[in-house]
Amino acid sequence: MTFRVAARLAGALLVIVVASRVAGVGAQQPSATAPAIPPPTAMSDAAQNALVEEYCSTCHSRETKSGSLVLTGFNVASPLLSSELLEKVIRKVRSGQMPPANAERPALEERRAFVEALEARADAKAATLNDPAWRPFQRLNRAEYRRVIKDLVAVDIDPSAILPPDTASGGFDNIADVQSVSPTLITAYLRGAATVSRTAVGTSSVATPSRKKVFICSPRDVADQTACATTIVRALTDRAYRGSATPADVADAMSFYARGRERGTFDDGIQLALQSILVSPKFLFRLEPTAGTTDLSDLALASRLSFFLWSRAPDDLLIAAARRGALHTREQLAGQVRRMIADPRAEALSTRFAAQWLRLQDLDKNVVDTQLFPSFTPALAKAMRRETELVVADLIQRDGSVMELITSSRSFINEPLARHYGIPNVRGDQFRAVTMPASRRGLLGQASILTLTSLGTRTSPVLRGKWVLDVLLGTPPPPPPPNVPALDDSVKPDKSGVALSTRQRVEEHRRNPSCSGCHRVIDPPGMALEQFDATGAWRATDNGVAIDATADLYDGLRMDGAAGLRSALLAHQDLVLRNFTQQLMTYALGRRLNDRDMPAVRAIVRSAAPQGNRFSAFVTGVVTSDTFRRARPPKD
Amino acid sequence: MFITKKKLSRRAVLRGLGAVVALPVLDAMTPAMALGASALKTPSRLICIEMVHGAAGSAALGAAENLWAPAAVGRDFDLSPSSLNALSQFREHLTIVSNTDVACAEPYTAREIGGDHFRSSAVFLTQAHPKLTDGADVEAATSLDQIYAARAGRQSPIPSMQLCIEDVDQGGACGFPYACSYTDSISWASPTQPLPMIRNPRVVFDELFGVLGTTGTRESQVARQADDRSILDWLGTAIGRLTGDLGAADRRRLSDYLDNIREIERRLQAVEAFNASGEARTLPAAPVGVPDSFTEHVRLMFDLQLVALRSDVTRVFALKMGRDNSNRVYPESGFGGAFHPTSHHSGKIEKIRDFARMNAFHVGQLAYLLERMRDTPDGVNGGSLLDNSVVIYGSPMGDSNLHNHKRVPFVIAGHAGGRIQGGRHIKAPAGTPLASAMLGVLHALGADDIAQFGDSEGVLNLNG
Repeated sequence: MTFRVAARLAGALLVIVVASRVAGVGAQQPSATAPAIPPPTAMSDAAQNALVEEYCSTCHSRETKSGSLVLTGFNVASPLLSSELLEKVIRKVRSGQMPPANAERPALEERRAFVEALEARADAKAATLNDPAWRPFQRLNRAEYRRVIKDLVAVDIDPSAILPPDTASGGFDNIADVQSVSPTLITAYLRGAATVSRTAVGTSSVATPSRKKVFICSPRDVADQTACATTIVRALTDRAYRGSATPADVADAMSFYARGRERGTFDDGIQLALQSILVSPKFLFRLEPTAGTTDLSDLALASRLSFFLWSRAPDDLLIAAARRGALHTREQLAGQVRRMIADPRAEALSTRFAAQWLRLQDLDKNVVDTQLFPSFTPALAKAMRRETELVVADLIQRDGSVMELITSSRSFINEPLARHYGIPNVRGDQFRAVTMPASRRGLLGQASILTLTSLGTRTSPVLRGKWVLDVLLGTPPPPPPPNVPALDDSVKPDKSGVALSTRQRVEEHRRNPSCSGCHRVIDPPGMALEQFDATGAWRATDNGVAIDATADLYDGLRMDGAAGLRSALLAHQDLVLRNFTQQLMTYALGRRLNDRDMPAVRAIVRSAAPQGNRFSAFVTGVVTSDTFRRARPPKD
Repeated sequence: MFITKKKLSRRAVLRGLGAVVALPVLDAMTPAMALGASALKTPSRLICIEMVHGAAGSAALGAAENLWAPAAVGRDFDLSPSSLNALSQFREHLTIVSNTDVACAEPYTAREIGGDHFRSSAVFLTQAHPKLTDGADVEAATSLDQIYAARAGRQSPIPSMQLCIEDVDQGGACGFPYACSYTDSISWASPTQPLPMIRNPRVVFDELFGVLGTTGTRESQVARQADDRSILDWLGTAIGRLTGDLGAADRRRLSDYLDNIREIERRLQAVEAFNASGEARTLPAAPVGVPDSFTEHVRLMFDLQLVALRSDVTRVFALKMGRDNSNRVYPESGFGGAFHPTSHHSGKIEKIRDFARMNAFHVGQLAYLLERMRDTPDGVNGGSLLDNSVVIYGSPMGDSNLHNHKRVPFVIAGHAGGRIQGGRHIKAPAGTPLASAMLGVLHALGADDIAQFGDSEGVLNLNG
């Protein structure tokens, strides 16, 4: 098949071109002047257009307009073709959702050649645009505020008792453009500064970790007080302002020291200086001045890196690297990434990034009926969440392949969880590494995921299926229409009065033609997980009916049980990795991605493959991308 | 004494001793308060409460059984079949407005179908159709509470406050291409500025009575307030120095920050003037955090509102009592079902009745508030706090099973200083926008120069 060979060649060519672009990171030349990638010649424009005409335009016609999309007269070479439409077609064909499995469609190889040609076109277009999307500056959210305060003055706070909740967007709590400022927020920061500074300074007679951290000198006598205060205040501003403190900043804080000292003690002076530092915009906001070009300043880049990987301010090593200009080349950045993700502070990637990506917070939303599931306790729910966090943390520490999230038998459990899983010889509340049975490999064998996608009283193949499509494959189904009958009522027990399994009731629901269009896509991954009950415990029957965990994925792939679903996900590894990259990039950048980001996402996925899809390959791909390293133009 | 410790001392919620803060009651105010002309008469206070997921009485079969709106209009209505029966002891203070629609919460385009849960809360107090976006370019309209706060609220130290009961933390943002702020908030300071709602009673307490801290002696508080003012002063200049090397949009963001700093300075001054004018009183002890119990949480929020309204720290509250799609169960209601599934009653009468019990439990929370407002003397006219206030309670959804926004539940309590007579059920002509009733509320609050609110078609006469 000539298509196939040519497509492979084109793909290889792309990898080389992309690799050379990445290697050029930090070079003087902005990539606006880099040569555009020539569109590959694998599948001719005419062939692409003909394919759309033959297989797509019957449903996506001006008359039928399936999915509100018209592809009649589609011309791939048209300058009017929007990246939105291009990416939409790529998404649908790449995932195998289109053309539908039950319709006439080109062979898999031909579809792949087609979609790769479209991707190459989109990527080439993006390279000429040189348009890192802009976002406003970020502010410290609850999770970051807690960590930064802890690092700065060793005070433990409950941020939910101080700050208003963070508005989520794109699935994450750190998205810049929805971090709006209100009197409620500012009052909260002011109150937080007052409380934290008083707690940190405490009383001079009691030595606390906070005092040790703050009072790095003690005045020998009254005459020495100002000098010592200057030392303290300089250190505080330097760390609080993430390396950007100026002499004016120190002078400002010192004026508050003087004010506090005047009406009280040395400690009062330090407390007031600290209070002023903690409300400074340089502390609360992650302002990102440019280096006079479109690149971020080195210090701003250091902050982006550390808030991405640690949810904290940069440490001394990172600031030093920024100051000596050692955050420019790909090797320098990759070195920092390796160092930082091996550090315990990278816990934030599992407890914040992965937890939000995987929606672990929804565990709290499922009020499990403890009459039906008497072994379910809040402690067990906590252990479920912890297991998933530890598995991700372990993967990051070992720098394993991201696909291990789907396949790995390595996990971490404690006694309550072991009992829930029926695994013997695990004692106590401590978590330890175990090898899980084949049925429980990967995320889809973990009770956290299986419970947060269930209802309080029963499993929900719909919610589980939606989770797989949305969270793992990045192909979210549309929202349900109104007037959807609740499952319990949609069907009576059969004529003999025998109760039905959840699967049978879901299937009944799907018999309704107005439901089947979507549910034929949504339900199957959930059906394959029916061997796990609503709390993720293994089961052989549901409502007395033997479990049937076979189902066909939307593209026709046959699945049997969790293992079958895992195989299906491996067959769609490209979707899993692409979606993972999108999630990681959204979190790293603090902005929702758009269609124009997809070329960068694809480049990161491609560059990770020869590195065994190691976690660090994706992180390095993100931090060396133009959009991570660039800011808006200096003046607008 | 307008408040006792007992009132706020709830199990596992409150702790410690009350901070001593000078907190005058209205009738002890001095002319130095400089409240302007309206200080001469007692101001109306406003509480807007939203409950999500409509009501059982909005479903066709539920309406036939009068599960929300009573059968009779006028004064002789029978509340016994209704979820509102929990408020029967306050019937003389109630104005039940039934049969109105929230058309702006309906989908306008095909893409918006199915998004009702993520759009509705933004409509409740704005009566505007939210722009479909998941970005920062959200747009609805200034909400009713904020319209009133802009007029009456600035005469009190804190113009308004926004509270909620449910956590906003939910996986995968808000599940539909609607920005989370449409789901998270009911208060909009402007068409593009949704306001955060505070869930933690402790934070509410601190914001209302501490502003920047509540403990310590009077002297140390005065010193701290002076420090706080000096920090606010400094922030103004510090921000000015930063804007040089930032882009225009970032500069705008910093200037918003500066505006907020100025607003807080204003509040601080008002609180100080305010505190200086009154005798020292003991405040309730500060609550520790968020109670697990729904009833305790709601009552704690009501207690805080009562103290704040009584002492005129603020005049306007918005309270979001639920969150769309919530699967919360309410064990105190004696009914075990979860909220969202129960609201999808499939149009079956037994299930609709179950949902009505849940509605009754929610509405019943108001009894606690109304009883205290009725028993709190207020102002110069010899009335009660309830006489001088308006409490509205309703939902932007009607039949939750169909996700429609027709015949939505809505009830007004209180008399707005006599401008709302109460004790009546008004059944609006079919198709009347809820906005017309809300415009009636605004007029009763003295904002009678406003001719149009949302999609209102004239003003509904609340005394008709």
